[in-house]
Amino acid sequence: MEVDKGKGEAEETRKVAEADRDTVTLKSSDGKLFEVSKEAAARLSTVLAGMIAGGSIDDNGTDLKQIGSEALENVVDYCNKHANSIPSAALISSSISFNTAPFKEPEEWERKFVDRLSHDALFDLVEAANFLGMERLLDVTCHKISEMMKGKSPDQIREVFNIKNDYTKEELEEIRQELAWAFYDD
Amino acid sequence: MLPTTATASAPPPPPPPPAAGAGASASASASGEPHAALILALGHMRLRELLACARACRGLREAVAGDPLLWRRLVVEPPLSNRITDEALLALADRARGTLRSLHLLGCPRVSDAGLLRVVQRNPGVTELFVPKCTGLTADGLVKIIQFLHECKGNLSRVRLHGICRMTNHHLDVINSLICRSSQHDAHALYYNHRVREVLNTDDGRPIDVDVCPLCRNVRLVFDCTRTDCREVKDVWSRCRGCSFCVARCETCGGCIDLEELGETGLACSDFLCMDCWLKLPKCSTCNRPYCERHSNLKENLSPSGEFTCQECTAFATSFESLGDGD
Repeated sequence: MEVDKGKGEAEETRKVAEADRDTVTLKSSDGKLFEVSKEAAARLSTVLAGMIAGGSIDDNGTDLKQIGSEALENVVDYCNKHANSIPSAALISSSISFNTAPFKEPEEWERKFVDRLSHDALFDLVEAANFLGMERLLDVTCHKISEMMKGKSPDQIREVFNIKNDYTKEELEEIRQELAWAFYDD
Repeated sequence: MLPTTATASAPPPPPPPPAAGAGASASASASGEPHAALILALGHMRLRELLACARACRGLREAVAGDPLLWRRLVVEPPLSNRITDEALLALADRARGTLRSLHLLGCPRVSDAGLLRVVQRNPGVTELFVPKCTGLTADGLVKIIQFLHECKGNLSRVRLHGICRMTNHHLDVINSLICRSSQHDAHALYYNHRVREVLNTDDGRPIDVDVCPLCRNVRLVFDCTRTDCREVKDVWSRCRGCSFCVARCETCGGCIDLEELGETGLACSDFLCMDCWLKLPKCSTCNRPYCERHSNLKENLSPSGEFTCQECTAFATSFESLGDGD
């Protein structure tokens, strides 16, 4: 890690040097540093774009206290991969689309990217994406979670996502009646 | 992970305070509370998963019920389509607290005119009304509903109506006059695709999905031909533009198929293919008929090299064997 050059240096020169660099350094909650292309960061994250535009990017690592190193590594990895991927608009520019959801299906590499993550890593990445205002990454990760839920019964959801059933018997009965139309067979 | 309140974009209803563990292992395993990420993901879930989540624990139920934004867009699709009733639909729509914008009922036979009218009366801001193959609805009833939305100065701009019984040209004209058209209304060609039938939802930009078939004059989905030479020659184009009853279309490419061709391109499933697409596909080793892409999962005795028998031939062979056993 670079030693800081001393705060005595003129703010001006620092700003200029910063603008010249084409990467930004991000610092996770546990102090690890990651470099990511400035262009990709600004394009993919509204929060980072705001910080870059506002000049609040720190050369020695911008503190992101809410994000653990594992999640931040994934974020940076996503940004880099995104920078290398083919622009998505060109791929799906057909005049007809039959999607039921307003959101564009994840592309192959995005699918692979989220598939390899563990549950905890995926959850942390969702929170990191939300914190950084990375809409597409949030979409892709949340889509993955919703796919994991697909076709599962409440019991299975509790098991997979480690949730405790805190309903009383009466409440369960109430819910059963409310949603009997949808779930009467399970 | 430090507990902080200053998040950049406020998540929907604040989840129970996230477990403040150190570093990456801040999962909710210890407390049994749903992870905050799950609450963020609710917005991406389909209706069935959303309801299943609500049944999993209190925290999720409150998050699902407490956020009208999750319900602005309500899509009822199989397997819930066959089950949803007027009452259940009204209860779901009420969760949007009047802000429902987009209502998709894909093949819901138990929803009636009266039920749907009640929903739009409480949600006059509906801009998308997709009710394909909702056989419980009538054309008259739908005209009334769309009229109501029009009178409310609503902004209904897209409807999907195929598979509604006894829809006439007259109904279509009235509906056409009541729909808000965006300034740039361009007549897209609609190409045949089996997914139109399966998903029951043509989600392109056109305001109304159905049209009057130039051949049979019925109100149905009317497809254009995907073959450029068909479209370029004016006369032919008008002849092979039509509903799926009037013009046979290839399951794979959406081009028209003429009757002679149809006789030669037999399939192991009940779909149709044009000769070009038929020739490309692997065939059953017994009867020399291929499966279309959609039904390729029905192949039996699939060998590593790709040889297979169709279900019909397999069934025939086994019934033959069992006959032999019986003697």
